[in-house]
Amino acid sequence: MSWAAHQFEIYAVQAHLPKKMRGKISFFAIFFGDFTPDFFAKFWVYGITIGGTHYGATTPHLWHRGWPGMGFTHTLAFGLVGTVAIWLWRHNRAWTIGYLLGFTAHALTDINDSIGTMLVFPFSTLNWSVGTWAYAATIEGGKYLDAAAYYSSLGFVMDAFWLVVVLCSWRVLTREYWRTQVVPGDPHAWAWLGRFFDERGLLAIYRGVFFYGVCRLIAWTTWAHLLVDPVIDGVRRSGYPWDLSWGGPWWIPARELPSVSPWIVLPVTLALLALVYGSANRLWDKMAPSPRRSPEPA
Amino acid sequence: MSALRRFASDHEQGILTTLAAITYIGASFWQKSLLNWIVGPAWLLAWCWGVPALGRLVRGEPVRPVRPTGAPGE
Repeated sequence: MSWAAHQFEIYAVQAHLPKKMRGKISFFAIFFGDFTPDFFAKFWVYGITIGGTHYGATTPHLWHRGWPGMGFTHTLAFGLVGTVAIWLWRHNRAWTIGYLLGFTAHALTDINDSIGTMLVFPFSTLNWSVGTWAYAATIEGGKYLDAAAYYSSLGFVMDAFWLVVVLCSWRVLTREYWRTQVVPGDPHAWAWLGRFFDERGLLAIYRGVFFYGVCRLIAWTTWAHLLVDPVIDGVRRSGYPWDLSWGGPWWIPARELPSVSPWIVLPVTLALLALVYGSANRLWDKMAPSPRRSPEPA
Repeated sequence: MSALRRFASDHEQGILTTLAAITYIGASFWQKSLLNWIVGPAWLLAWCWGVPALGRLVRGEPVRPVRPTGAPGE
């Protein structure tokens, strides 16, 4: 799974919208699209322990990304269902396309761990993974071991990559950008929030997910490498060992599910990304409000 | 002192954001469960909006935005 990458990619999507959509896509829709897969699937992956009894998935990786399980929540088909539902409900292209782009970013980013996602579900329940780092969520290790493995592997590089992408588009975080590109995309939501918060508050809400991503990246990485002394293979170490090799870290067995050949994953993923992007582009014009529909925000 | 005040005024949001990050990361070392989707953004909101709002409250000024009638949000 990806960690802070999911926070950063929201801003990356926002910053790299097609020209005709700039200032017209709902940032909240991108956020909810990106948030949806893990909202449905993640909690039960780690579960909770009450009074010594663990409540959660018996096979976390199968529950999270596989079938049977909640893996369908990480498929483009599920994202499409959500997208169609939003369109039927609101007839608002700012929300519909924003949700689709956010969801797609999440589902495609998650092909990088050793489990990947069921990209072409429901036509196939095989997982698509390039195995860049080890998926490490287990009942015994819980969130802590998962975090330690992720932030000791190329997962850390993935987070850093998305952070750099956002920082290279740093204007997306500015007050000016928020005023001119974000608020016009969803004026009703921002106006409603504006009843309670002044501009400082609204900006904090807009930047909040980025803030969380940065802090999460720093906190978990620091914890994993400076603040704990784990015992690995019977040897006490000062911090979890780094392993930036493909499929790492070496010190935890990567979870896997039946999957397609990794050699076709990247080209197919890029093709699907282009397909979603192209479809969004074409649908955007067709979804333009007609006089008979309630007008969408300018 | 006035130069310090001017700097703080000019960079209020940057200072508050930095303080928010330091305290959030520090607190998360103590309690990892703070690192979640809700607390993270709320922490920034508390520092960048809550702290100045608290200052206004102490001075007896309105905390919620005051807008002219007909403005967005009214």
